[in-house]
Amino acid sequence: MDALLQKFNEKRPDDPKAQKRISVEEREEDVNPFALPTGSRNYNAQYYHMYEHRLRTMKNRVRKECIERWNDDFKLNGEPVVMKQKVLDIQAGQPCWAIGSIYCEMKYKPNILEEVINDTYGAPDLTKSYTDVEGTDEVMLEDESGRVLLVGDYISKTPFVTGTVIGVLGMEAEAGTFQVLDICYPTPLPQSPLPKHDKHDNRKIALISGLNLNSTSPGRLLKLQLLQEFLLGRICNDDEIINIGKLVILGDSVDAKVDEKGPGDMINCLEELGKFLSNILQSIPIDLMPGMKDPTDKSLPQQPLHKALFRDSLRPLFEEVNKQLFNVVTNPYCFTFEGLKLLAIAGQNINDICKYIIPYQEDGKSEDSQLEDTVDHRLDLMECTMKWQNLAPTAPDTLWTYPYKDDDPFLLAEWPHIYAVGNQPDFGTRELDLKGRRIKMISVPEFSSTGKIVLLDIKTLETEIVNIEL
Amino acid sequence: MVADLKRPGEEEEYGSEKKLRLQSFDHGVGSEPVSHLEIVPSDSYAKHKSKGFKADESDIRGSQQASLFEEQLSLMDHKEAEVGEHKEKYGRDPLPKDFNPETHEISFQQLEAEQSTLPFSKDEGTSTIVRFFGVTKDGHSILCNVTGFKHYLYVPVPSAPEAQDPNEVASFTKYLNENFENSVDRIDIVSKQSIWGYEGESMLPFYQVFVTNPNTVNKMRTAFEKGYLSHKSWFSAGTTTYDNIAFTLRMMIDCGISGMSWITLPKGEYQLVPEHERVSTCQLEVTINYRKLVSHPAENEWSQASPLRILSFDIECSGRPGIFPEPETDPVIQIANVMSVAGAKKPFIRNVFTVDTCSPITGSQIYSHATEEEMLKHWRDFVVAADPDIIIGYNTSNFDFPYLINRAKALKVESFPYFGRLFNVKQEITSSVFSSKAYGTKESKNINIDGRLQLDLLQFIQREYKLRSYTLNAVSAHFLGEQKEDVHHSIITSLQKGDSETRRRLAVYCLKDAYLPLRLMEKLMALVNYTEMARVTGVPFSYLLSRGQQIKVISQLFRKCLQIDTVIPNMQSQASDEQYEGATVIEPIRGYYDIPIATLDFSSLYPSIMMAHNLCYTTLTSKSTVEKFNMKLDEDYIMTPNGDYFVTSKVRRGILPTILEELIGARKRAKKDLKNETEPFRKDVLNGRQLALKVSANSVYGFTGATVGKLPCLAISSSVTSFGRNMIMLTKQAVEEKYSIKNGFKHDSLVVYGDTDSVMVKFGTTDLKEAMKLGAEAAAYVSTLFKHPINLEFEKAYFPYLLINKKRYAGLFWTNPDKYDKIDQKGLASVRRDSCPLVSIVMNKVLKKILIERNVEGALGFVKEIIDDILHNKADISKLIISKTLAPNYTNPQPHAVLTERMKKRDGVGPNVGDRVDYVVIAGNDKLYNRAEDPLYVLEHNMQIDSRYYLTNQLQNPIISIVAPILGEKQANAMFVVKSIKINTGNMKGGLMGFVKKVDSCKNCKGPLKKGEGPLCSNCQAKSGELYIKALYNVRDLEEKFGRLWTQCQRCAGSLHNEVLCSNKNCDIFYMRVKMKKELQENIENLSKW
Repeated sequence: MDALLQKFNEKRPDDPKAQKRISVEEREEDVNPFALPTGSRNYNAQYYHMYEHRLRTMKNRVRKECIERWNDDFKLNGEPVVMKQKVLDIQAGQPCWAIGSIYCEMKYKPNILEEVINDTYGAPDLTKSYTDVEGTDEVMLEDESGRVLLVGDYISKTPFVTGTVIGVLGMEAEAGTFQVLDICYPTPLPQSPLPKHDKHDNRKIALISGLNLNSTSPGRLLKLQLLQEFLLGRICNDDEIINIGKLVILGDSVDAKVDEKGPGDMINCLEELGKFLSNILQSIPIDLMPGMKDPTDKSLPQQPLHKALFRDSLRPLFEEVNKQLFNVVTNPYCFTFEGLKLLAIAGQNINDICKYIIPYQEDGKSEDSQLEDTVDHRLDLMECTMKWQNLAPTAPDTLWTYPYKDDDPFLLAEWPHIYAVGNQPDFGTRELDLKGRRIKMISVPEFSSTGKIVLLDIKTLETEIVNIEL
Repeated sequence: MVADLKRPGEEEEYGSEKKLRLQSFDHGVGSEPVSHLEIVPSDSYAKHKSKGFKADESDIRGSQQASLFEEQLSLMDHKEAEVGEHKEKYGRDPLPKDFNPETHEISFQQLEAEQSTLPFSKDEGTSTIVRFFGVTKDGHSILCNVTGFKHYLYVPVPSAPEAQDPNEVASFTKYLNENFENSVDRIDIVSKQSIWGYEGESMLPFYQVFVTNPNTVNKMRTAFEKGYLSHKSWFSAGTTTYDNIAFTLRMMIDCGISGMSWITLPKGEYQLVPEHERVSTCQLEVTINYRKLVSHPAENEWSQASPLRILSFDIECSGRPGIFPEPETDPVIQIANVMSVAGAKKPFIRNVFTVDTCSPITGSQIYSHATEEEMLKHWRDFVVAADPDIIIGYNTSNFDFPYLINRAKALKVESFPYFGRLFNVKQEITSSVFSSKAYGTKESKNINIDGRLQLDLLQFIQREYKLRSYTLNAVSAHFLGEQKEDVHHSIITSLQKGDSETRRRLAVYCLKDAYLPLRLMEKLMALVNYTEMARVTGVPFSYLLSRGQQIKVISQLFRKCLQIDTVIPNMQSQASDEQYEGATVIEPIRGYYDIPIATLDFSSLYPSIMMAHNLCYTTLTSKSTVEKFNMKLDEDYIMTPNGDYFVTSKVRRGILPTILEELIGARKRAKKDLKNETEPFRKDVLNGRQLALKVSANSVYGFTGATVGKLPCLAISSSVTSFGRNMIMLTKQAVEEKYSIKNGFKHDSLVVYGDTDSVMVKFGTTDLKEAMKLGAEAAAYVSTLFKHPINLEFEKAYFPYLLINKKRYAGLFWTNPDKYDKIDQKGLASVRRDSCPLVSIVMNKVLKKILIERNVEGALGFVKEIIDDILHNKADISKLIISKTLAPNYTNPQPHAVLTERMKKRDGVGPNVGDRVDYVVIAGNDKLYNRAEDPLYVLEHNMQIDSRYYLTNQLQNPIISIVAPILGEKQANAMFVVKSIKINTGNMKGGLMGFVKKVDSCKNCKGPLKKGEGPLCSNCQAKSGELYIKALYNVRDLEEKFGRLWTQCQRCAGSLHNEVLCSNKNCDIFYMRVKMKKELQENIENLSKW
């Protein structure tokens, strides 16, 4: 059979128009902090370990910045400002600053205890937002010693979510409440220098998320076909296509339910995904990241899709040797392309943070444009995660997470060059300048609803959008 | 439509639209609160909660805060923060500087009355006084000595002709004085009549014997009754004495003072007690003659409450492993206090007294002490300085107070037990046995804290509500709807031995336990309702928790009798086996009714019978009297169905009907005022009042029937029930007679069931609206057949209705034809206390499916699913837990006792006597009592539960009882016939098992795997994807549950950075989280084989 095939291929004339696709070199991190092999897990830990570790690590970074900002000579109302080691050392009437973790007490946070009691547990979670427009939410600063309620304009105007570590400056007003006058983020992180691209090329990578394949919307499959044709260069005679050296899929490739009826639906969707992957892979390497809806862990960090999910014929692709061609990665994941660091996540972090910040409105509109769910706003929140130096601060409070002990992979050790968040309502990008370190942030839209693919130029870090519509 | 159905005079029940949100599985079928006190959430509570400990009255998002730095700072500079944190200011405001008894009148709310003596002075010949403790409107504490009042008793003047001669009386007085310590002041001859029986209108002469020392009254009474008095053989045969009542109550009754009422001391009429003679820490200490004081009935301005200071506290003891703390050896390590003023939004003192250092708690004060002795002394000083009027807590009477006092004794802190208002009176523990028909026999400890009321919330809740469990956890889950982190007492010692941070943990916990009673008291309106009860019935507040129901009726009876010159005989209370026939129950026509069943209720049946037929002690008469006065039947007197004679109100109006009328009239007024009242605190008071009035009215009947009582009169009580029985039967006849086909109605109506004061009528129509209309009509019609004020009301219809047996039924409850109100169930709660929560959960759900969703198939499906879950060991273990209190000794082996022994052997520690022991029954062939096991142990060791036990002993009977009327007995039983139960005996040992080699098996077909194969055998390899997805989604599910459960616990613990130590087994997710952890670990290991 093979021999036959070879013969057939030999006879086939080379396509004169065939062009050689550009290649993008991807270097793997030595240690992927998000890797979590099933065999190594231990669920005996509680979550306080993570908060403890987080506070310990971040406190040093924040303190550095606080000291710089509110140094010894800093005075408020004529009184010198004092540093407090612990939240509970705060005394009434004395201007001071302290560092701690933020905890948000919110009315609509899902509460499993209530659900169990009211026998509603197991019903689909329809929570659109945790925040209460009536204003009963409380923001607290906490460390091992205790909690203090934060109040003041600063608090109402700045986004706060559980799990971030910051410094606050102010004074205790009434017992147990702290008037915040200023806040302080951790000291800037290092960033590896931008690589020099002297070659005169314009290599690109394509970012996509939210294919959301399912068996009920045939339109999605059709769009996928078009996408495939586009990436293979069959639709437009655009020479540019050969410059796309890699396709990165940022989660939510399938959207199928596995319930009592069994996994049939999921298997069908995976079948379609498998076809798509194997077709594309003939021409272009793929990095595949799972998302919330994909069949892997439900809690973060999500592990790479397992080869058992795919047809036998695809399984060899999962082998180590094929990694340059087909790389199944964790969510979140840090890619390094040609010296560029790309930090990517399938979007759960931002989608969850939005629930803390953006109140639910029937029509999606808000009188306060600050509170509207716009791409701009989402970019703001992405910016926040960079400033907080925490990719997913709301884990584990509202984002289900593996109970790490003495570790927290979501804390950033260095800033990436590119920060991509998948499965967002729309495309958006912003260049962030944090004390001279530049981060390109990209909100990668959901493909199934927007038809958008993001092309990122590796040299200029410029983005363009390809829109595939039916 | 609703309006049509309302009957005239019927008013909206206050707060009926506000439904209390109950939580925890505990409110299931297993425990209906059976209190006579309804819970209506109080508005002040709601505010309290939403405000929390926040900055200002205004929104914290702070529109009032200017954005400028400086401006903000100046705003923050307010004094409150300093007061809150640095100064010990908790005493009362001082008296006005210009205070002078000649120019200032004093009005105060009296809280407590006690008998005492003034050692060096006499007023009207007696040094006996009644001491009132109270609080003025401005919050000043006062001790008021009321002087001059003399106790007395009545005896009939002897028939000897000379007995009314003043000289003879004088010599009798002298005789009495010789025999009774010179304590007789004088004897008056008065005209009175006895309350007992009607024998014409004539008054009889009575001796009213006044004594200067109230303690001799009882001796004298005995002497009169037993005929010990030899003076002229007037009383040698013994005589009945009248008006036997305690001195303080006598004084209060005669002066018109009721419990918790207001008293005014007019200016110039009272004297300040000189500084050196003062005995109390009260700000005011005064003396007044009883004729001078003005007592106010609790109306209008005098229905207010004074700003009472309420202290709630909790102590923590550091015990030794496995032993319940004993005051002789185990130290008290922390005392948390929360103090609030009645009606205030938030407590103004929150502090914790600790032994050893403790890190600060925001918003609360920490007082650290080097030694336990210092702490106890300081706490005692704190209580005296803070001067609470009421001390509350949870189980303070039987635990906290005795423990503190005994501990102080053990440590020889002599100054400790003096925290009452009388500084020379030591606090001591006395044990008492309280026995009452309604509440059973309980041993309890009493601590005298003179001048301060005590309200132990545990006792209050035990008295007013029937719950499955009375732990603070369970109670706060039930009423406040929140679970609390529970630190097991075995951890307390290690927390104390840690550092200031761990002690802070403990302090937070302790503080929460001190705060909860205060919140419970507000939520259940314990203080407000009991205050109104004291006012309505006239008894002092403290009687309400320490005494039974009778004293309340007695107090009202004496008050009434005083006004109409009637005296009450002192009857020798004797147990009697005399029984009388109770209420009637119409034999139920059992079944499932899928048509509306209208319910007709007699409102306040027994009180209205007593009023309608003028049944009273004073109207009870006899055949001979009737004949003597030549009275006419039904005009001058009636004969009750029971054969007793009573005169009609035309001849004499009875006292009991008068009291009842007043109570019911007052309740109507209170309800009307309630409707018009807008101020939340006043609303609470009025609501408490109307409830107290209702309860009081209903207890009058019981008083007459209490054979071991002060004044039993079976003629009254059995007449009442006999009237009741007749009325129910008459109602049945009248309804069935009138609503029949022969009278032009579409169907013959049928009374399917009737009990005590209600009848359930099937009118035959399937239309709910029509049934309700007929119900209202029928009620109005039947009411006309009875005497005023007996009134039959139509309130509700059941549709559908499931009638299981006498006093056991369930139905969907409608008061408005457009929307049902709720599922109502009676008697299904007779699920035994040793049944597991699953039973009530299943019953609730089945009822819901049958009655609301009308989905019998679904209900059966659900039952099958549950049975399946149990058989496959999938049921949530926390729902299978059976819980029993461990008693000191058992004659027969009991499951929980055997388990306790086993746990002690296994872990070294186990539950103590008095603890509730939770267990589940595990599979095996041993005796049942050997198969009880700790749920946590079961989870950790993957043990199989005994599904057969849970099916047959727990679920089967209750479920069949509600399903059988629908399906029929046979089919219902069939559901529980299980063909085979696979019981995994777990460890297989011995025999040939030693030769068996363990081999991994295929995840799918369970066939043995060859080496290197896995996780599936070669045959199942093709299904690999599908099977992987199944395994994966199991893990996904568990991951979410794990995350949600443990973050929830972390939140509940109130700290992200500290370990969750909770051992609150009452929490609905306690076992769940342990189970999830275990399952997730197992499932992830499975998944790793792929």
